[in-house]
Amino acid sequence: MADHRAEGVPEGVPGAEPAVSVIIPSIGSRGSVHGVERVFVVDAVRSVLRTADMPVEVIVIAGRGMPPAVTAELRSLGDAVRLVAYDTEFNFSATVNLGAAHAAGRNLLLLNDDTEVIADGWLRSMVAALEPSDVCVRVGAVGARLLFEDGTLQHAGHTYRTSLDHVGFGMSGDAAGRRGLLHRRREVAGVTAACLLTPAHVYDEVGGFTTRLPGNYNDVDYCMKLRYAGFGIVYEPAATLFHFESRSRVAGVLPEEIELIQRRWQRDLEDDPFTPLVV
Amino acid sequence: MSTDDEVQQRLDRWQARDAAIGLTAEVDQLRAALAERDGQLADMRERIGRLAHQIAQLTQQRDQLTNRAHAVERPHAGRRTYLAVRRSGGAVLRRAGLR
Repeated sequence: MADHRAEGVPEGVPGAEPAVSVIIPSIGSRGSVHGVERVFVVDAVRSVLRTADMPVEVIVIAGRGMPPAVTAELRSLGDAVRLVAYDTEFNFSATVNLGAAHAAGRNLLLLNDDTEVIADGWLRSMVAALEPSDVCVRVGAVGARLLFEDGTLQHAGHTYRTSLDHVGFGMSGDAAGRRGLLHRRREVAGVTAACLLTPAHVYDEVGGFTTRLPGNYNDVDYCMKLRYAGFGIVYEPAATLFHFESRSRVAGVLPEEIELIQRRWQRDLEDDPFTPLVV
Repeated sequence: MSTDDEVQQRLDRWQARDAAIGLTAEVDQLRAALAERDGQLADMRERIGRLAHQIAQLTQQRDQLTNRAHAVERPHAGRRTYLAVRRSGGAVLRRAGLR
């Protein structure tokens, strides 16, 4: 396979190069899952290391206020885990860019810290979905199937049709959807950055995540940049993870974020050629 | 492991590329919107042309109808002649003191 390493990405040690660099921004938040208290990022990293079926490195971008105990616990998880300090004002795009700039892997997996892998083989499935296939001949990003804590569907790809939504949001976790579209690998308009795999050279080619969208729509923008550059976006249902995000989370969208996403892509966000209106 | 300089170089390069792609995308959006407006204007002009032609035709038809209406309102030539003769006859008789 040709090495599509991005210009400037370090060569690393032959044979030791991770296939995937997992990038997890975090401030070490705690929360309760199924009634049990946990530090999200620690459990997320553990689940990745436990289930990854290929060489990986995990880069945790430690934001302001990460408790020293969490830092220590992350360091104790092994050499595959690296911490990079991010000590400026919150900007999700800037944090993932910082992680990507430190990464040595051929592929980058952006992962939220409030996730947990459910199904073994998830990473291999996602990497396999990057390969050219009948689904898409030039894949720029792969997204996963994400479930809420209660097992209902949180994400099965993005759909852009006037509003920007998650495919299958709130449906039963095992729902197949119309013509089984929730259960099969397929091309979609975009995927969430909560779990997004992209080749490092592609990330480099399109300039990573735009820091002009600090909190919202940065994944939409990234996917649109990929599509603009001729890449497709693929949803991989075999990669199933919990995403412990609140179902009722109200994202504080800034007016300038709406303005920028509209200025760049409004005409392309009016219709979705991949997902039917009714799933 | 990347040095701080390498990391910063990558971040700077990505920022520049993102800005360039974003700008191109914005220009494309504007061009597409412009082409759409041009199309709408051309369509509107064509419709105005068709409407102007229809107005001309209707005006012509209206003029013809107006002329016909006036023609219908005027007395028939025979009746006009009869009335003129009657007026003349009446005048002669009044002058002759017969009426």
